[in-house]
Amino acid sequence: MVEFKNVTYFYEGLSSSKVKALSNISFKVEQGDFVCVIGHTGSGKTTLLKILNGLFKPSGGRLYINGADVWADKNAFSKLRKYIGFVFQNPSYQLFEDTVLKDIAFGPKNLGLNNLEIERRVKNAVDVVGISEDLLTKSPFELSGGQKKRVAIAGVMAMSPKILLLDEPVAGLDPKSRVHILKVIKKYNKDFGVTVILITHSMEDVYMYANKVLVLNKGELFSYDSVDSTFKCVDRLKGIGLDIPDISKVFLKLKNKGFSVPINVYSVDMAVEAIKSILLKRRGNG
Amino acid sequence: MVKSITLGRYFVGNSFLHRANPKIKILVTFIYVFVLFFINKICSYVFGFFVIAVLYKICKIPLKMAFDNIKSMAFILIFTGFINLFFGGNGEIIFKLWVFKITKVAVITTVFVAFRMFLLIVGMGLLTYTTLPLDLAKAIGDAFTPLKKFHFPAGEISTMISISIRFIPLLMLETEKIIFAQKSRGVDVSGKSIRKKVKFIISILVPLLVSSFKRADELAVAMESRCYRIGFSRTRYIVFKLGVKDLILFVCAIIFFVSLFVIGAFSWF
Ligand SMILES: Nc1ncnc2c1ncn2[C@@H]1O[C@H](COP(=O)(O)OP(=O)(O)OP(=O)(O)O)[C@@H](O)[C@H]1O
Ligand SMILES: [Mg+2]
Repeated sequence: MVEFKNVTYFYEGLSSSKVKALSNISFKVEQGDFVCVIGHTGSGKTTLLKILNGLFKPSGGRLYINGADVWADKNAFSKLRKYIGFVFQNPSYQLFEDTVLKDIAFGPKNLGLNNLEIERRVKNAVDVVGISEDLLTKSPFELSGGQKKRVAIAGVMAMSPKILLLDEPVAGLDPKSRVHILKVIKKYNKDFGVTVILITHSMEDVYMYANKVLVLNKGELFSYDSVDSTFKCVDRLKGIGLDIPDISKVFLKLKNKGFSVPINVYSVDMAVEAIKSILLKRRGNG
Repeated sequence: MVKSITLGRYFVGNSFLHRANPKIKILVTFIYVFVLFFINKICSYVFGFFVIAVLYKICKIPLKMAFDNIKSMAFILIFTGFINLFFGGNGEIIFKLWVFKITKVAVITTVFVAFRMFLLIVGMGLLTYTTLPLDLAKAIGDAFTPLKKFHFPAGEISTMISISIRFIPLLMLETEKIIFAQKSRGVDVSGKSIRKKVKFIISILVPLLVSSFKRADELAVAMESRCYRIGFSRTRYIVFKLGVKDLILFVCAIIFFVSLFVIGAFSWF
């Protein structure tokens, strides 16, 4: 379980001025949650994740992991890195070994595991993420952007974290790889009860995979709620430069006009299902 | 981390030194370095430091910056100091321990070298603090222009220097990001054993090198697609012209240097 309590963060700007990146953020994430973090560019999403991972110390407020105050309890801090995995926005910041296989093994090695266990975990991660056999002996620098991303994710998964942080893991990928990677993450979340906190700019990802949404606006916590209740406030979301799928807007308008339609409709498929069931109901009545 | 680098950092300001022609400033600094090597009287050093301190004040640069620079170079200074002290010169021995012996001449040279290094760093600081790095690079590049007659690639060198300077802060930021990424993969930053340290450094250096090469590649393409061609003379947005003010600055500098010698000649220590 992760808890932010009144967390504030300042960046040190040039000539010792201070840039406020986060102000007074409080929220709680339960183990096994899949949280999507959304917000306009520069709203503080990456900063939030870096604080969560213990890379930045909050300028004010506290961060609790499993009830322990991370910055007050040395023991808790040393466990933090084992406990939380972080996949960065740019995968080329972490790939460095001469083969993909070695690179995936780098994290588990740092945990001080024995070779057998390392091998098992690497194989597991490779299977889960779906990296093809012939890539494993290649240099990570010869891979395409999407392949690099997969290797980076596998490298973090191989550390078996209890909490997985991902900074825009599917930005700039083709639709097929997108869906694949997100499904892998979702499966990982379900099968192992791993908490996932994922930054995204795509509203489709949010309704497809998340069960909670954390909305940031200019460094402040705008809302932290279930997908349905977040998407209900379209107007407020629009006010901070975010949007919901067009199809959801149609259903909200229908509802406002007095039709009895569900409003938690986020894709055309869901819309088809919703209309079908309404029609069936009518036929049943009439 | 990015903020801890002070040498080569520019201080925004509008003093006469800020506005002076970078070429003149470089020339004066160059002469200054030479002059320092011919001065060997404490009185001159003290006077020199006094004048430079006043200049710092006029340019509104905290003198603390200069001392911070010296702190960051303390290792080199102390190291050269030791070498000088123990192996610098023959003559009257005033202290001896096993193979180490200290001579009177060595002590004197050590003291002088310390003063010189100090004045060198403080004086050079004045140049870098009041000149934008890019202007500095252009001025250095321009200094090569006469060599063009001998097919020396002056323009390219100038471009190269400006690009390198431009990319230093970016590389620093990138290094920071890479360190973060490896840290969160559990790399042992404070590892005591040599093996762990080497591993840590490799895990930082390799991504850094790779991304620098990639960036250089992309930059080259970007420059070419905007019609940069080697061998064509480029015009500049801001052209520094030599003016009366620069002449005055140059003359003042010469007076300062001469007075250092004069003071040296008329004092005993
Ligand atoms: N190293 C830094 N120094 C100073 N300010 C910074 C630094 N990094 C980020 N900021 C500022 O902090 C704020 C939040 O940045 P952050 O990177 O968390 O945004 P983000 O929500 O991740 O944006 P994006 O969607 O573009 O990735 C921004 O206003 C940014 O200008
Ligand atoms: Mg970001």
